[in-house]
Amino acid sequence: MNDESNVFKTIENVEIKLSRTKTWSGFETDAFYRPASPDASYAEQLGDPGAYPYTRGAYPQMYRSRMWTLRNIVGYGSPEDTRAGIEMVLAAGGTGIGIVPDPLTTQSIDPDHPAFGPEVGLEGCSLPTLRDVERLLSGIDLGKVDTAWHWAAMSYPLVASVHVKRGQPLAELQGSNMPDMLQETLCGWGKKIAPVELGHRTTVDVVEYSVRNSPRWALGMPQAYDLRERGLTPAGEIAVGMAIINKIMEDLIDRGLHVDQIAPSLAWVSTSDIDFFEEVAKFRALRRYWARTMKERFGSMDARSQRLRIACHTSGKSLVYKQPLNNLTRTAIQSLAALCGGVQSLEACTFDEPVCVPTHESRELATRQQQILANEVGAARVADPFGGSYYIEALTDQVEAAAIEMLARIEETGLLNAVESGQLEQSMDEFNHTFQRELDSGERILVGVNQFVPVEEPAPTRFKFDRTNTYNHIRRFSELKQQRDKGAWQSSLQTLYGVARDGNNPVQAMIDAFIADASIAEVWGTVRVAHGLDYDPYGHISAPMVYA
Amino acid sequence: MSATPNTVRCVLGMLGTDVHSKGIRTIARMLDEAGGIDVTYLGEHNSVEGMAEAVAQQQAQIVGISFSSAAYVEYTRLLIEAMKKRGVGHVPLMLGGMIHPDDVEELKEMGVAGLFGAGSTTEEIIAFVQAAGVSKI
Repeated sequence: MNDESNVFKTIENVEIKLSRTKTWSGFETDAFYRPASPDASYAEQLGDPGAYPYTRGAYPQMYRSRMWTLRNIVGYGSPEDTRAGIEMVLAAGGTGIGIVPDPLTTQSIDPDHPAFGPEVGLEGCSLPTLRDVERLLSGIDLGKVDTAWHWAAMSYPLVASVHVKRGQPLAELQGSNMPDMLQETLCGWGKKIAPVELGHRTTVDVVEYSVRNSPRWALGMPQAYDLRERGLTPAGEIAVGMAIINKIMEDLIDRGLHVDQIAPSLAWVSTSDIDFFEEVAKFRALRRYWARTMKERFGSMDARSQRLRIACHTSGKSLVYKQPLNNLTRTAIQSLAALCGGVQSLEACTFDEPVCVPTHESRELATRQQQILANEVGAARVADPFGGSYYIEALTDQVEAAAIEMLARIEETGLLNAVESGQLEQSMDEFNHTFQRELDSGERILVGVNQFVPVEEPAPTRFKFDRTNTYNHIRRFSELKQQRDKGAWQSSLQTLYGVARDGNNPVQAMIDAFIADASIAEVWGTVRVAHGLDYDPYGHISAPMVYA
Repeated sequence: MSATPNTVRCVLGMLGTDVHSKGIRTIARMLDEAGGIDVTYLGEHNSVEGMAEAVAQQQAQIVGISFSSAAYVEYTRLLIEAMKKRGVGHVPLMLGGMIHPDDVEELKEMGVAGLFGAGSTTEEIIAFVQAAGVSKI
C-alpha cells in the first residue's frame, strides 16, 4: 500500500449515517407506518417494508438498517486524471466510487483508432487495457472497495482480470457493472456496434460467468436508465426492463441455473425524472412487479431474489442548459423521489450536466445535496413515507397496469424481434416527438426551455483539464502494443476466437486475453470475428492477426 | 413529404461515437413534417469523410450535425475540411446540441452557417432549413 491508497481505505466500510430518527422539531418517529388493522388487500398489494411483495421497500428498517450509498461519478482523461478526480470526491465525503469510461472504451474502440482521436478521454476515462485499469485502481483492494462501472458487458472481464492478475480469488471480487447490451443497441449504439443476437448473448455470458464465479459482484440489470433517457415513460421503463430480465432469465435457466442463483446478484439501474409523485409510484410498482415475476413466473423461493435492489441516477435529460443553477432544484427533488421510493444507491446529476463533464465544484455540491437530504430533510427516517396515500397508491397501480400491458405486447412480438425490427426504437422516437410537440405548443412547460427563459446570462463555466496526460496515455498505449509478449498475446486471442466461435462462454478467455495485454478492441473485435462480423464495426481497421 | 422543385435536400447525422441522437431524430421528423424539406437522417457513428461523401451523393443543400460530445469544435473543423476536399464546401452546415457560447465565434469563423444550441426553437430550425433552399433559387 502506498500513501495515495489511504483515501480509499477510509471508505471500505463507510456509509452515510442516519443522524437522527426524530423530526426536526423533536417528535420520535417509527421505522415505518401502517394501517391500524391491515386487511388482506394490504398484505397482498403492499406488505410491510421488507415483506413480500416489497412494494414498500426491500428491507424492514430501510435506511435505518442500510443507508443508501452516496455515489458520485468520475471519469475524464487518462487513468491518472480520473484517479485524481476520485480522490477529490472521496475527500468531500462520497462513500462509493462510480467510474465513467469514455465512449471509445465503452464501445470497445482503442484510443489509437484513426477516426476518433478528438474524443479520447474527453467524456470519460480512457481504459483500453488491464494496465490502465491497474493505474486507475492502484492500491485499491477490489475485494474490499466497491467500484461501480458505468459501462456495459466488457467492463466485467477487464476489471476481473486485474483482480485475477493480483492473485486474488474471483469469489471475493466486489463492485458492479451494467452488462445490458440490448439497452445499448436501443440507445444509440445501433445494430452496427451492438448486434442484437451477439449483444444479448454477451450479456447472458457475463451474467452467467459472474454469478457462477463472483457472487459478490453486482450486475446492474437491466440498465433502464439509458432506456428512459432515450424515450420511455416510467411504465415503459418497467415494461422494457422486465422484458430484458425475463429474456436473460429464461436463457440462463436453459444453461442450467436457477432463478435464485441469478436474481440476488441483480440490481435495477433506474432514473428519477422530474415528476416527483410518478417516480415514487414507479419505484413501488417496480418492486411489486419484480417480486411477483420472480416468485410466480420463475419459481423463486429466496427472498433475496424477490426483493429488488435499485440503483438510481437522476435524469440527465431533464436538466436544462439555461440558468443551470435551477438544476440543483431539479436534482434535489428527483433525489428525494428516489429516496421516498426506497432506492439502495443514489447518484445525483451535477447541475452542469447539460453543459459539460462535471466541474469539481458541481460534484461537491451534488454530494452536499445528498448530505442535506440525509441529515436535514429526514429523507431516510421512515420507510415508504407515501405508503397509504390515496394518490400515490392509485398512481402505483396505474403505472404497474400500463407496464404490464406494454410488456405483454413486447413479449408477444418477442423481445429480440422487437429490438431487431426497430419497433421499440420507433416507439421511443414517437414518445420524444410527442414530447417536443407539447413543448412547442406550450402544453408542457419547461423552465428555461420554452418559458421563463433568461434573456441574457453569462456563459456557464466549463470543466477543462490539461490533455497532456491523455496524449501521453495514447503514446503509452501504442508502446505497449510494441512491447508486450507477442506469443502470449496471440495465443490468448486465438483461444478466445475458438471459444467464441464454438458457441461457448468466452468470459474466462477474455480475462486471460486482458492479462496477456490484449486491448479492449482486440478482445471484442476477436469475438466479433468469431461471430462472422467485421473486426472493426466502423470499417477503418482490420484484425491484428489471422484467426484459425 | 414528396419532392417538389423547391424542396430543400437536407442531410442530418451524428459524428464519432456520440450516441445522444434523441434530439436529431426528433428534429429530422419535424423537418420532414414541416413541408418543403426532403430529410435524410444518416444515423449515428458517421466519420467526417463518410458524412462529406453523403452530402455529395445526396446533392444536399444543407447539412446538419448534432453534438453532445465536447469534441465538436475539432470534429466540425475536420468535417469542413473533408467537405471542401469532396467539393461540397459550399453546402451550408448547421450544428445543434451542446454548443457552448465560448465556441460560437470560432465556429462561425470556420464557416458554420447555423448554430442551434440550447434555447433554439423548432420553428427557427425549420425556417433556417427552408431558407437554405430559397437562397439557391
